[in-house]
Amino acid sequence: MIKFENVSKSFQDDFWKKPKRVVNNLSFEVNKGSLCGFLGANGAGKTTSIKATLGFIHIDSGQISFDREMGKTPMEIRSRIGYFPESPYFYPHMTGHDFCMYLGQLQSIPKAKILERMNYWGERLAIAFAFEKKIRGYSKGMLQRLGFVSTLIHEPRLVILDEPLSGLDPVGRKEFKDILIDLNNRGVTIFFSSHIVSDVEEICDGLVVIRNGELFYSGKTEDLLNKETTKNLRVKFYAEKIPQDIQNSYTSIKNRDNFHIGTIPLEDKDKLLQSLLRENGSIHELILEKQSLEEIIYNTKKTGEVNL
Amino acid sequence: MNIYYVAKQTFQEIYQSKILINILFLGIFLLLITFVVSEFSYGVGHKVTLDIGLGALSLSAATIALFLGSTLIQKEIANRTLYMVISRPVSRNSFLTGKMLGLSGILFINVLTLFIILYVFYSLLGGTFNYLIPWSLFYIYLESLLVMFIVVFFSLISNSIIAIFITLTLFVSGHAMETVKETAAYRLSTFLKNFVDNYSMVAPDFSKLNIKPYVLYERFLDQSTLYSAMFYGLFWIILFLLLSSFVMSKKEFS
Repeated sequence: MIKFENVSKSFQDDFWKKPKRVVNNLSFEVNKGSLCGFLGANGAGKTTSIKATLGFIHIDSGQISFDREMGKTPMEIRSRIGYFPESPYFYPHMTGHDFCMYLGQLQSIPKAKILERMNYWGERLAIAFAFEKKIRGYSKGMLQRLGFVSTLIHEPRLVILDEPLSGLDPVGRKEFKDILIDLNNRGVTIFFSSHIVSDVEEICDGLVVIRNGELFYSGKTEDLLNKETTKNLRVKFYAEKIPQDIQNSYTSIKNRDNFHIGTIPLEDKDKLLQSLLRENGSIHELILEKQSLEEIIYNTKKTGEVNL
Repeated sequence: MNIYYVAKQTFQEIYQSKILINILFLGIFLLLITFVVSEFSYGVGHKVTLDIGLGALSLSAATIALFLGSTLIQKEIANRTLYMVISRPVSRNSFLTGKMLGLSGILFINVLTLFIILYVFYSLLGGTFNYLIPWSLFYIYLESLLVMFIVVFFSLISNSIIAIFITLTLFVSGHAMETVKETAAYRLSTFLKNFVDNYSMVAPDFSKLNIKPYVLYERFLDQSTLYSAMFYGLFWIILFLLLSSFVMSKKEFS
């Protein structure tokens, strides 16, 4: 849906300083119909990449292209994108209704259709009650919800969100995530940046990770998780002593009153079970040690591979 | 069509702002002063009303254009509301044109409202219709538009304060050109003479849009002079619009 090919972008803080490269030779692809997370530390180049995608800034080199079905001209492409900025920006003198109507009209949507969609998304995002209030009186959560309604008012095929879950309470985050999943199930491609790694891990099937403006990982979230899985089992069992068959491979974590907690390699699972049966022991827990995305990131940070 | 929606939104935003109300009050206050001053003039009250009134009208319109024009685009960039609009199928130039049209509408309402008040005072004091009065109204509007287009351009390449300063300098120096021609220095200095004579070609000569003396003394001004001044004003407006469009298309909204 979106393709970055060797995209570079530099910024010059002031006339006398050398330009600083914020995005360096960045290449990745967001597949059509995917729900893709965009991870990176502060200053990694996420927002710059998103702004370049939307044409707010001009890239120094490389190319950003879109799927053919998005249209040929920049105007056609933009009419099919729903953009949600990091902190949505509004005209405070307007009411929520006027704001959505204004943005809807800019998309050339008939008034009746705008109202219909406003009511639908307003109800789903629990903001319809405030549509007639001036935006200057909205709380942060309400602004976030209104921003999301305005993002979806034209039924975009591609939704680009910059930190959409920041500033929301757990209930709000859950609602937003549910809507993102629902939209994705309807065929909308979603590309969103976030600092909350667990949220990305929870809902995204694709992942783009950047570090210092360069690509670190691009692909399926599952592949990264599998790649980094240790293939160890965390076990908790009852036995008078550690079975002979696994003594060499067992790593103890804790022992108390013949209860043992530790790890064994995945291939020693059967040996452990057979030994326990033989020696009148019992198994209480057997869990595949699978690292979360956040843990992978932190672990690799220790080895210097990722710096999130 | 997008230009219309942006213009409408801009018009409504400024219409609801307190700045406009304050400036409108200033304009009405100046007109009231005009009325009071004219009461002390002997026999020519309507002329004094027209003189000070047109001056107040011009000042009020130029002030609105200057201050609201300087923040017209800058505010959208600073508040980042621009992102919400240009991420839609709205080109940067449509946005710029829409914003300028919205403010032009405000200027028109302001000029027209104050003019109606002025004309009522003028008529009450015995003033009669002169074909140059509507023209002077048109030129005041054109002048305020030019101020707006200049200040918007400079606000795009610098900031609001510098833009106001430069535009004010151009406005004052532009108006001073005709007066300078009447000084001895102009006749004696070749350099000054060349500078003043060529000024209107390198910078907007606002004095060309000032026909107040002709209105006050009911002097004749032929159609070709009126139209050439109008085209002169329009030329500078279009030039600054094109320059602003160029800057806008190259601008980074980071």
